[in-house]
Amino acid sequence: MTVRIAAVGDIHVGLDSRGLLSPGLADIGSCADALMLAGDLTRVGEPAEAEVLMGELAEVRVPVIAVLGNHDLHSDQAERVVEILRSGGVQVLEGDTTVLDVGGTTVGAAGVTGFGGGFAGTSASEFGEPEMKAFVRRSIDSAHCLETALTDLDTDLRVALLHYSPVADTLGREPLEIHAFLGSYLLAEAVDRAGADLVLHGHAHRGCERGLTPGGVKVRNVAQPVIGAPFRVFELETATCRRPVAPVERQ
Amino acid sequence: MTDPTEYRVARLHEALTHDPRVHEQSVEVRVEGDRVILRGELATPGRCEAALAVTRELFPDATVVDDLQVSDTRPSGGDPERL
Repeated sequence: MTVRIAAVGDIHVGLDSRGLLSPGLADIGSCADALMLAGDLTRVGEPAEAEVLMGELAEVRVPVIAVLGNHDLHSDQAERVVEILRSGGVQVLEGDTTVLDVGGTTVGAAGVTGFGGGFAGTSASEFGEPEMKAFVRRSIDSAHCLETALTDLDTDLRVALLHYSPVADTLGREPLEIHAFLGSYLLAEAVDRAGADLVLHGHAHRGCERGLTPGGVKVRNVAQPVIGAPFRVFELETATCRRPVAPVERQ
Repeated sequence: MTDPTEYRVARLHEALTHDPRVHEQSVEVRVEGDRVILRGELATPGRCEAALAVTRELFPDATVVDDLQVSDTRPSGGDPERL
C-alpha cells in the first residue's frame, strides 16, 4: 500500500498573501492523501494571518497536519493562532500525535516545533548562565516530547513533523555560524531511538532537500524556498516501515 | 580596526528581521564596493520591494542590487519522491 504525503514549510502567510497559495493547493487531493505543514505558517504569528492561511486552505480536501515555527511564536499569540487553525480543521501538533487511515493503512504523525542547539561535536550544552541552560533545556525537552510521541504511535507508517532541522545534512548553503540556531542533533537522536519512516522539517531556507539521520531515517527539508514549489509529495510504502534497528542506551 | 561596514550589514539584518514591512531573517546581504547585494526568496512581491526599500534607507549612497525572488507557489506537476 502506498501512502502519499504532501509537505511544505515556511509559507510565511501574511495579510499580503491572500490568493497566492490557494491555486497551488486546490488540487492537492489528486496527488496526496494528506498535507503536512512544517512550521512558519505565518509571517509573525498574528491571528489575522492565521485567518488568511485558513482562507488559502479552504479548497484543500485532504487532512492537514501542522506544527508551528518560530515566526508563529513571535507575537506571543500562538494559542489564538492554534485555535483558529484547529477550528478550521487543521491538526496542530506540539508533542502529540495524530493518526490517519489511508485506505486501511494507518499513518501516524508526531509533531514538535523543535529548537536549536546545534549538531554533534559543535552543539551547545546545558552549562553556565541560566539563559544558556534554558536555551539547551528547550531543545532537550522538545526532543524528549518527540521521542515519546513517536514511541506512542502504533501505526503502519510514522512521520516526524518538525520545524527545526534534526540534521546538518539538509542545511545546504546555510552558514556554519548559524547551524546552532537551525536545529539540534537531539531531534535526530529522538527519531533514531523511537524509529520513523520519514522526518519532515523546514526553517533552513538556504538548505537542501535530502538528508539522513545517523540511524538512517530519511530527512526532507520542505521549506518552500528550498523546494521551489507549492509542496513536495512523498510516497511511502508500508513495507518500508522503519523501526529502531537496535536499542540505544540512554545517557 | 573593524570595518564599520560589518556593523551596517548587521544593522540591515536586524532591520529586515524587525521591520514590519519585511519580517524576514533569511535574506543574504553582501557588500561589494559601493554595491549592496540582496539575495533570497521571499513569500510575496511586496516583501521583496520592502526589503530593497529598507536597504536603501540604511545604505542611501550605495547601489542596491536586487537578487531576490518570490516563492514559486504556482500549481506544479512535480514528480513524487518514492521513499
